[in-house]
Amino acid sequence: MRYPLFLFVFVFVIPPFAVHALLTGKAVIDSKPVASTTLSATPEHTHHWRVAAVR
Amino acid sequence: MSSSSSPAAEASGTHQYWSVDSAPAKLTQPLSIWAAPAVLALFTGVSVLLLLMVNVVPEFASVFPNRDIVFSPYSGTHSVPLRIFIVSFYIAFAVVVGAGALKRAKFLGELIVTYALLCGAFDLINILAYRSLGLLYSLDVVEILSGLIGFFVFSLKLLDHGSMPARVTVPERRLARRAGWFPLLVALAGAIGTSVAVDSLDLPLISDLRNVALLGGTGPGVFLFLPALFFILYVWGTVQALLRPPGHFAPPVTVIVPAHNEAHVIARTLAAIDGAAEKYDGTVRVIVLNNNSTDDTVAVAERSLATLAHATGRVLDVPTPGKAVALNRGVDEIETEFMIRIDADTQVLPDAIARAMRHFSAPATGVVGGVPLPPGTGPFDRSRLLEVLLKHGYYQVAYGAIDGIVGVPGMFAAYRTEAVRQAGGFVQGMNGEDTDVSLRIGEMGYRIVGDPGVQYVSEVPATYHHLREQRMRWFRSVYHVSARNRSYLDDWRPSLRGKVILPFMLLNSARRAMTVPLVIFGAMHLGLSLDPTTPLTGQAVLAVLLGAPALMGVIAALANGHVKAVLYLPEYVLFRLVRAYLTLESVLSIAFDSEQRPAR
Repeated sequence: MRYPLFLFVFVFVIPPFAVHALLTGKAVIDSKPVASTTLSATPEHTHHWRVAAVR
Repeated sequence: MSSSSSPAAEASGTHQYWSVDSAPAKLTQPLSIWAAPAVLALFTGVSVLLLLMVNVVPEFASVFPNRDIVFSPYSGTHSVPLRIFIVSFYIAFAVVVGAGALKRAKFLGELIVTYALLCGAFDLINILAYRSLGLLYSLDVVEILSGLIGFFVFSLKLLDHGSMPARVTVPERRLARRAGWFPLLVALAGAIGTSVAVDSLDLPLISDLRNVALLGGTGPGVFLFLPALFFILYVWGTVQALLRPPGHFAPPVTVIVPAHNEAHVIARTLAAIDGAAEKYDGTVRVIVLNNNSTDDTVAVAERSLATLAHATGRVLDVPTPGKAVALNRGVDEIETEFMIRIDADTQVLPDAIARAMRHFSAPATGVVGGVPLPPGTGPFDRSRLLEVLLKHGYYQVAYGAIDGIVGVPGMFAAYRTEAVRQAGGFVQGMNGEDTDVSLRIGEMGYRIVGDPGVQYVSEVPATYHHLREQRMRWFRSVYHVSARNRSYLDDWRPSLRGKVILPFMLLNSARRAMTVPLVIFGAMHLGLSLDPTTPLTGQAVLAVLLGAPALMGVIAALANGHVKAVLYLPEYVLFRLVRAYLTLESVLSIAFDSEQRPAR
């Protein structure tokens, strides 16, 4: 396995998808990122990673 | 030469389709008709177990609250837990594939470790992005990406572990590289812009699509991305063709016709070549390459050649079995600067030769292909029509816009003879010798042209057995060609075919192999009703079944003037499912001997 093979995934699959998701609101930047300590202390995040639905 | 299933099955009066090229020795293994059903059964069992684990077993459910093997924060929910799907398929495939226990375990181990590393890295990046920027992705987007990564990893590991032709040195570049990357990037940006613009339209239809249908809630934006990309490239390619019409060019050309037991059709094929020669201003010489025929191919061909009015020809005996053997013998005999290969079961339309040869007025043109129309009389012909309009009348034009055409089908292909010789001729002992030679010619810097106006009628299998033989051969070829020319994929040269088109074809091949399991998985996920937060599984399964290609099939039919072909869409959707099943069988038929075999 040589690395250039993975260029396809990391250059031509993931970035366009990521940009597309950002532009269509499938990804958002939370204005107040949750600090790691806060995250683990929040009951909502204590048991799992699912956070409030954005769409 | 045509080839097929159990020869006995064809004892019903039609010709035999099985030949030495049907299953190249050392690279393939006999495949039981029960192998694919075994994969599907095992896959069903494994996936049910994994689904139950993450949904019902409290210890796992608490670790995987997204009801899939996902480790980072995402918003929303998914339609189908694709990571569980991918892992289940890996396990089922590795258990059934014909290899020793140790090799199967190693194959499975590498599949899962590579997939876990890629998904893990992806999750880690998302965790970091969330903590540092607050960037949060929707889970369904991440699931789709996980599926694409899973498809790609499967094909790469199959290349590594399956018996493949050995890597060979690729020929040197002879012409300057053309700028294919720029139009690709522009088209990518255009596709993103188009799909985002449609997605943001405030129309009730768009809202419905976004919420309840097509890819289970990812909305028309994601659904439209690939169709928009190909449409932009198709328009670009068509405009290029209109702006740069090839001039009149009619040099002498030699047509080689490899023939193995083609007595039933060779007369029609030669008559069609004569008809095309009548419309061609240059001289046309024909060489029928009799390849180990046991029927009356030679006698029928000699009689037919004697009646030709506009072309001259002869029969050359090539006793060693193998289409590529015959083709290379034919190339040795050619004295003209240009050559055409035509399958013995293919009838060119009257202006095919004249139209194809015009493209060689450009000195950089190396290969020209066209559209293989079905005869229209068989059970699969209607579906095949939509398939060829999409693949050869639409995708080829789109790929041509970025100088990214990989394969020109050997049914009819015109070549600059010297380019074929520089590329090393036609490879023997593997599937896809036509794709191999055109790929290498393209990577030498010659332009490959796909002209939808160059048309010919080519045989379509009339039985399921024949279809199975044909498709297993075709679907293996992407792996054989990629393995042999692996340098294009994994060295550092900026090869658009090697870094984008071939990887996309490999990903797509794995996607096709997993389509039937995905339909089963979606139906099961829906039936088990394990996750009340994912109400869109049914729509997601429907989207996989119909998919973007169905939409593009309609565009391709209309763009090529075959309006009636739109009516064949329901048949084509079913045909695609059969094709997907045959892709699964095809990858199962790849041998698992670790030693790489040199293709000659």
